Amino acid sequence: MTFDREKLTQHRANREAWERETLGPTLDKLPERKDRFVTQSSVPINRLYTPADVPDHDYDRDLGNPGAYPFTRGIHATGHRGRQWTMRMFAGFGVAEETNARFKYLISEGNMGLSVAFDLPTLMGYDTDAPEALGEFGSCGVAVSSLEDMEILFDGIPLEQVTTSMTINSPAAVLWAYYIAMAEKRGIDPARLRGTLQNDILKEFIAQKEYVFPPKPSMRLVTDTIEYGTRHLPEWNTVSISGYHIREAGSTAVQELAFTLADGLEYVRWSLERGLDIDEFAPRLSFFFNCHNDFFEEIAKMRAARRIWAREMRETFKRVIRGRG
Amino acid sequence: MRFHTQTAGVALTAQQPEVNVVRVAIQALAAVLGGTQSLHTNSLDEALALPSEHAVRIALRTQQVIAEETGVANTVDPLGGSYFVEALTDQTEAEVYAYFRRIDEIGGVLPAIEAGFFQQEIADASYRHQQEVDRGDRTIVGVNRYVTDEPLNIPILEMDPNGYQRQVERLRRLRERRDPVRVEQALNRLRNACDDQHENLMPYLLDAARSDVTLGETMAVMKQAFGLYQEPMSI
Repeated sequence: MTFDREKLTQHRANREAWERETLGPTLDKLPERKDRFVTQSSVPINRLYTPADVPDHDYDRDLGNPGAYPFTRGIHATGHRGRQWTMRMFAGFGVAEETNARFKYLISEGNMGLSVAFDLPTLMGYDTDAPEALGEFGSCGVAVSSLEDMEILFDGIPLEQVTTSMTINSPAAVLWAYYIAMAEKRGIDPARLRGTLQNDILKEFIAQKEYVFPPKPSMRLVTDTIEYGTRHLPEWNTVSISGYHIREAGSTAVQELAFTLADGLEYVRWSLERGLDIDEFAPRLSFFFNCHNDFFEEIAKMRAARRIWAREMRETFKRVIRGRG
Repeated sequence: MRFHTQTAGVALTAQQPEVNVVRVAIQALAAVLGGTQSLHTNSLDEALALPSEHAVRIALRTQQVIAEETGVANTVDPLGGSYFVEALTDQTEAEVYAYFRRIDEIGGVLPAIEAGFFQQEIADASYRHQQEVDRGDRTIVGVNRYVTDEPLNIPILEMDPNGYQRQVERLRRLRERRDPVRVEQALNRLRNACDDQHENLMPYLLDAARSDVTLGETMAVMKQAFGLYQEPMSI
């Protein structure tokens, strides 16, 4: 990219000539199959894209090299050549023993990271034997009501070697406490634990509706976990800011991205108000996106996500960005 | 920005569930080309049940094929510089900033939640999409076109039928075994900390966890301190 003005003018003239001489007769012979071609999210897509569609593009400003600002081309200089993505299969059902067996099966088949699906009572903060939990046990995930359940869930799994993601929101801090307490009992320094807490309450209010407390105390809890993680579990991702559920609720790709990034910026503001240093906590905020059927729309969404987040961090919050974005 | 990706659960169909393997493969490929750090691939049976071991293995193998057979990871960001992909990336970015301005106009994320703004935007998009499907403007293979009446023939996960009893019994024994004084103290300290804005609750939750306080007991104290959320009726 980065085009010469003169060449661009020449290109536009060529393109107009092509439309007259080549495209026109083709359309006369064989009209297109539809009047409008749109993405999964109803965004209209043109017949053809050429340099004229990105006339002001500046490679170094808008794309940058991989691993460098604004991270459009990815956060690692070597992409997936150096660091393979983590194959992380979300799993959980029934009692802790059943899910433990599934985790071990997945690891034996080449799965690289764990991801816990909790059942609905756990997600809403109820013990399995609560009257509110009746009929909901174990059907969309595993039930974890205590430290003991957490210990059974991870029995025989080396916590210092795996990364564990936990999809839990309103009661996230409580389940995280079980995980940390389990590591302590095994003699593992919590500072060495690696994993991710979903802990994204804003998207619960927006889309998934598994909230318990009102927004302000909910945000206090999230900020407490960000603060605690920054000080004591520096390798733990304290929030996984999630577009997934927004998309599943029927949003467009743009809405998924816009609302998720807006949520992310809100967590940043609350953490700054708490007096935390953005260069310390922001690298531990991670994101979680959906990937729907429309191939290029999803790829564009992910590339735009990195660029917008990098720009907001640097320009709005003056974060010093070193690697990874 | 590091991110995890999951293929779209809503794109899975209960009809002809084997076809989901193809959908998931294409979605997963997009996630890899989009530069994801972590990936979950849905299982073919997830529109019907919790995934069986067989279905989960195929979903995992899908990632392994992308990683090890297709060559898409041989170079960094192979789509970078595509006129189409760059134009669509720019357009996505511009539309995201337009939403940021609307959210700012409402006063920020929390006021926008309380006003039902996000919820309404999503509901409108979802309704438009469903109408397009219902009118047949959008094809869903095996659902509104290419339909078959072949009976379903995939294994469904069977769970331990005694799981619930086992879990309830385990909780009962835990409550009998633990030190009731420690439990009471941990809950009292947590209660006080909830009322003090300057306290970080994590040390108190850790103390409760170490004292074998259950999830429900912990949450009950916090519910008393914080109250419960009711969604605005505007939507």
